[in-house]
Amino acid sequence: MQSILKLCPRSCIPLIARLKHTLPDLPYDYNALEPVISGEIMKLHHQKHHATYVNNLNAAEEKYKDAQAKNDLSTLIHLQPSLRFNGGGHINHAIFWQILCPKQGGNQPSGELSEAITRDFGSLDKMIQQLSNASVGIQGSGWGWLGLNKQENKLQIATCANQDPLQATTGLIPLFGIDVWEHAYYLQYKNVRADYVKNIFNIANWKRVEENYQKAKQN
Amino acid sequence: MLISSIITICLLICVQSQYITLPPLPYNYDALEPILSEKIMRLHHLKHHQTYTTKVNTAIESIINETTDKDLIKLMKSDINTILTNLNQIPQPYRQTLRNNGGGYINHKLFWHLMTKPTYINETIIEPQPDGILLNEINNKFQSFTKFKEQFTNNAINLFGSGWTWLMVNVSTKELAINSTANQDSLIMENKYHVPILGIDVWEHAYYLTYENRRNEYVDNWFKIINWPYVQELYMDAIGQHIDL
Repeated sequence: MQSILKLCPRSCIPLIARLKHTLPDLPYDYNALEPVISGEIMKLHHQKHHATYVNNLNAAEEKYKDAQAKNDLSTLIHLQPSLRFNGGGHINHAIFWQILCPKQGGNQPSGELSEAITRDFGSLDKMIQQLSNASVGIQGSGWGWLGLNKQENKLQIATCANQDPLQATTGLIPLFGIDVWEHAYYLQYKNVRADYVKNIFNIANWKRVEENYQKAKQN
Repeated sequence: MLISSIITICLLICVQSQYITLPPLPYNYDALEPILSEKIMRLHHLKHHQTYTTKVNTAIESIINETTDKDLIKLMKSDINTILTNLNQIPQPYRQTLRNNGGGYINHKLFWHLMTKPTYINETIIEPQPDGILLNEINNKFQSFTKFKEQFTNNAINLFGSGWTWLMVNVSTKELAINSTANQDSLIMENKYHVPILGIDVWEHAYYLTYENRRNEYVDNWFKIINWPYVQELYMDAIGQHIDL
């Protein structure tokens, strides 16, 4: 991509540099998170739901850039909900796939993340209890998050409605999240969201959450 | 004597905590096949709707036990619609609980009646349509039934997250309008003069087991099971309603 940009006349660069968002690959097979999350759910969730957010985000951004070029403020405002839904959906799911891992590769929080969890919640179990309660209690669609409050250097639990992204909505930096839209669990768990939330901690990729924490502290 | 007293007290306790009850479906669980499967209908009614019902009863019971405010107790013993049009009188956290679960209760109670078993002609399901006064009004407001269906469908497909799309009557103006509510909010919560006469549940639980992410396919198929005679009854009631001044 860099070499292509060098060959182009300057006028082409803005057009080419308008890179589209792409659906990231899962870091494991669709069946890898069984029995906690079925292969059927993972395939639909990734290939249909996440892919739709990506496609719709690209379409909305295209229209946004056209409207900017025409100084069409009305259209820019009209597009805000779509950018929020689809942009948030893309951000959230890109994080989600990474903070899950097959049960066999499972791990526990350690090091500085573990210390921070103990400091801010009392224990890992207490943090999990709080995050579970918050996630199960979300009315309708949304996400439960463990995030870093950078100003106060504190870990906090928060929930967001629909696909509202955590950082843009609350300022917290996302470390670990649980998708509680019904599409994330219904085929397997039906109405019993609590079982899904309980089980998801068996496939949490705490090593990745620790990396998220380190990056969040640095930025 | 003692045993009959104990039985009476137990019955009173049981009766007291049932402020609302789960209404039965007006048809068998498999009646709406192949549009809505028996599996979906059983889960939707016996799990989701039942949960809303139970949580409303628990909340009302708790409020009554925890307050000495006679007006609040009187409100809690009123019908569910009165409670939901007076949510601002209810203390948190019960206000949110009643909003979510009371809304869920009345939305679903209506929903079951808005649907009916599909009609076939030569093994093909035919899409029913309204007629009479309601059809005239739909044509007045939306230019045609087709345009109404298109607008209603767009609203339902583009509703982000969980919620309901409604065809409602504003009983002050007698006008039809398409509207939506998020989560389990009901129309009467925002305006007690907004009466739903048709509505579709677009929470994923309403369709996911059959239609997966294809909400557009669900909505399109759902038009084949609308109980238009019932909708027309609701419309006639709504335009005949008096506004209490």
